[in-house]
Amino acid sequence: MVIWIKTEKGDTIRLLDRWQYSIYVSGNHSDLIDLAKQIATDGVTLEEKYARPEDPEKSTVLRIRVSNSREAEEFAEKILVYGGYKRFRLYNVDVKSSQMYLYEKDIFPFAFAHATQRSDGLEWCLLDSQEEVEYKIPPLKELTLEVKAASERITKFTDEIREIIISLGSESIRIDSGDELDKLMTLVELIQQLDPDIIYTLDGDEFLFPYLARRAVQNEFSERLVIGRERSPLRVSNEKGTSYVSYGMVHYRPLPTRLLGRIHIDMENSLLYCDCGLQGLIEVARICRIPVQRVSNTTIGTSMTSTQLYHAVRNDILIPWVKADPEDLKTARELLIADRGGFYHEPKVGIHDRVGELDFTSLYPMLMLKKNLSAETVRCKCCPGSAERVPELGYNICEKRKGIVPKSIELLLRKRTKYKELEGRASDPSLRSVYEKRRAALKWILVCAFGYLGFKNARFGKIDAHIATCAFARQTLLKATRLAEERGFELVHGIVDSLWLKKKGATENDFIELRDEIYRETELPISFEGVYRWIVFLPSETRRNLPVLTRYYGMFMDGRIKARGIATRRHDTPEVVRKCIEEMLKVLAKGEDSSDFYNRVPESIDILKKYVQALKSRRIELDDLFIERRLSREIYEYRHEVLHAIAAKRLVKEKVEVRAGQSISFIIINSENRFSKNRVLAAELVDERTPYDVDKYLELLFSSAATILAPFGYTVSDLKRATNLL
Amino acid sequence: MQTSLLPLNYSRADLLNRLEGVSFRDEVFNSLFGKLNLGHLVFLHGTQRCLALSELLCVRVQLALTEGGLESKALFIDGGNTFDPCLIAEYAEQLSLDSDKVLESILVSRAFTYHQLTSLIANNLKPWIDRLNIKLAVISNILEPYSDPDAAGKQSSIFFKVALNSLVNAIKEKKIVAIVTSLHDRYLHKNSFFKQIAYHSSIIAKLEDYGDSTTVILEKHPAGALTTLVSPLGL
Repeated sequence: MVIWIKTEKGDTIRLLDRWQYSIYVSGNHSDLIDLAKQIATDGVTLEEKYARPEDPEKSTVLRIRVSNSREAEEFAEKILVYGGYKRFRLYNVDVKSSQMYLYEKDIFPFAFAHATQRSDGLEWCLLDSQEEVEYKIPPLKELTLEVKAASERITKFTDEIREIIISLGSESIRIDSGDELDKLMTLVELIQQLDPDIIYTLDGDEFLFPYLARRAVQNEFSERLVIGRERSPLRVSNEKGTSYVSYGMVHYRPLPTRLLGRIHIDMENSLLYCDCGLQGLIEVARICRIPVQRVSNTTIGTSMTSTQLYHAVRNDILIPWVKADPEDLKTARELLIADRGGFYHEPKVGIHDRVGELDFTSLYPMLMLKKNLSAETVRCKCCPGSAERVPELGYNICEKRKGIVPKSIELLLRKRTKYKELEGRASDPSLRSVYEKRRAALKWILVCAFGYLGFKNARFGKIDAHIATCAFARQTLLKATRLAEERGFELVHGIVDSLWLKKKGATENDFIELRDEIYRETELPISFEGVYRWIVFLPSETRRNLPVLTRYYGMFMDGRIKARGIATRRHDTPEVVRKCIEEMLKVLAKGEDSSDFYNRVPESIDILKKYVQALKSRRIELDDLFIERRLSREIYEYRHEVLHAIAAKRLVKEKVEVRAGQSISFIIINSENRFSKNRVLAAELVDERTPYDVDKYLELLFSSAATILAPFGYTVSDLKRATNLL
Repeated sequence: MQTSLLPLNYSRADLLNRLEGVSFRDEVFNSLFGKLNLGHLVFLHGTQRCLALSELLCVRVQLALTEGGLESKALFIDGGNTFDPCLIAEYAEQLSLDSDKVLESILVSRAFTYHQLTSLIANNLKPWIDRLNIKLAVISNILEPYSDPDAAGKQSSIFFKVALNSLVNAIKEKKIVAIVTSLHDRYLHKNSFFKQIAYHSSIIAKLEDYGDSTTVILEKHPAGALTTLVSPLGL
């Protein structure tokens, strides 16, 4: 195992540890002995481990040492075949070596530690703690790499490099002289000379590094294109990225480029970096015990899982290679009661005055922690008579031990609370931003923790634990609602972990007192978000009498506007529509209460008129017209001519590789054209001469405006009339 | 191949009003399937209605023998997370049965990975049949977990064989009716999993929707009197 260290002085040191990866096999004792004889190497031992997290005691398993995680999978496959896919179960097979090393050595990335080289490997002395919130990050040398190709529009791997730009802080180095080989040589020299710890790119995984690797091949330089600290050149890979589904949406992840000894952050493809910056990445790396490089280019679920794997390893619980234990048998009646998701109370469509909002903080993770909800604790075999029961279902919960899931989120919850406190106290804006980013990163991990309980591939997830968490959450919201009603409040709207309440003449203090009582009774943290001067709950676009639970906008007493589910929040809204709706909301926000709000509606329609005129007279910048949509399937799988698929097909014709899960940005040029290829144009092909479809953009504008004014009787036709378009 | 246009509507609304008496002894059904004998593996594929039909049979199997049932509980192994207890309750009410009792008599387990589904079929099916005295087992959406893009191709094929062999073995040994369903897929007939199930099935029916009615295409049946058995699968 290679470990890169930054010393206190800022030097970089490479350490090598003679550590070996191990896989484990369980099965009948005689089968294990037979297998050990078959393998017949020194690296095989019998050990005592928990084969399943719910096992009451350890069992004898076979430990087989292999050189790395890649070899582990090949070896495991052979064992399965040898056992006829029935005799053996395999464990710890597909955990990344780097993570397993961290778990076994009980260290974490960016920890302050002391390493001693011994004859049998490295000895670590940790001088840091994951609990620490004021930890120091060593001085890191960061640079941004940009490569420009000779072609102006769509860049292809066959295009020559025009220019390479290396940016260090405010300074930039341009490599634009000599031929292409000279540029590549200069790049390698500069990287070695500058010796950065972190290299940032835009689309480095999908384009920049694969492009450099191909250009190096073209110039017979591929053996010398070394960007990392190891003498390992960048290679052309024929592997593709992956499309995957998360929460019903298809995403695309390009194949990550690793620069051994340095961290590569692809700013375009790292969700966590985009949201939480380097501070967030390092916080997650520390707390989840996963290298920063992996945090930046993998899913949040992978980082969250890493904390669970750590706790499993430290508690001698083996990590199953595959999840084979199915859901416990239930009657259909039980399923009807059990599988109901979260609490919701439909709002009444329209405007409401002086509504207060109370939100439980990290409700689901808090319940998982406090109620000990984990795959092995819900309906455990060891405590059938447990006093701890899941509401409505009566499932027993283990009283004898704490589950892996609660163990893994405990520190996350504690640190998130600490960062929130520090953020509130910090007077230095840069320090406040650090805490805010770390807290936001932890929030992402916590959000994911609940979803993973029911995720099919989660190692320590189980649908019964997921169901139990939902049942406790519903019980909590019902209890909070009852407490509110006892104090004379009316529940206006409720969903999952939030309540919107009103009471005639209620002051902010009344809401705060209610919040405190709910906290006392439920022992779950709950925050008071504020009182809305007015809040508008919106109806379904197709069925105007039905409310949509997550579609509303309102203004707090302090002037903050909160909106959900409307055009300003949607990712595929063109800027022209977003700007118009935001301006309309600002006008409406001047309303002190519902009657004042009504008076402002005509003024908001004037804003709409302004945008309609601008669109009609083609005064809108092209940049404000782009629509971005994600491909939910591969291009050839589209049966209908939807606009983003048409744009993507055009890109494919231009030899651009397009995959399911990628976002396509386009302009509508003529939505009614009989030839679908002429209806839209992908952003990459747009220039200043590109026309746009005024009618279609007007349609989008009217539709979004009608959504926010729907409760007041406005339809698209009404708005067209009001803006003199009909 | 025998094709029959049936006035089926397995949508949640008034299904049984439109399809009166669909049961093991139903006249329309008899004309196509005959009696679903114990020991039969019935493979329904096509639209969502094959899932609805399998759920309806979970209700009807609970009826008395004289009413076309088997006086048995039903086991529903769900490979696609599509089991709908509300639909079951509706069917029960339309048959004037106590919906709570009907729901209590259907045992469900959901599998989210092919390893789980294999484990359910290979390890749990027989013990559950014995313990609960089951006469009807439904394996719903059987192909989905094995065809999951996350599933490793070679391994999922091996596990599918293990599951299918266990299922066939359980049907014969325990003398139950097993309904296996799979949702429509353009390439289904080319799918090797499909071919393997088809090989072991006594009855194969494809359900297609045409507006409010459903076409049932009988692709395979053991009784020559019922069908010409010109199988499009070449079986």
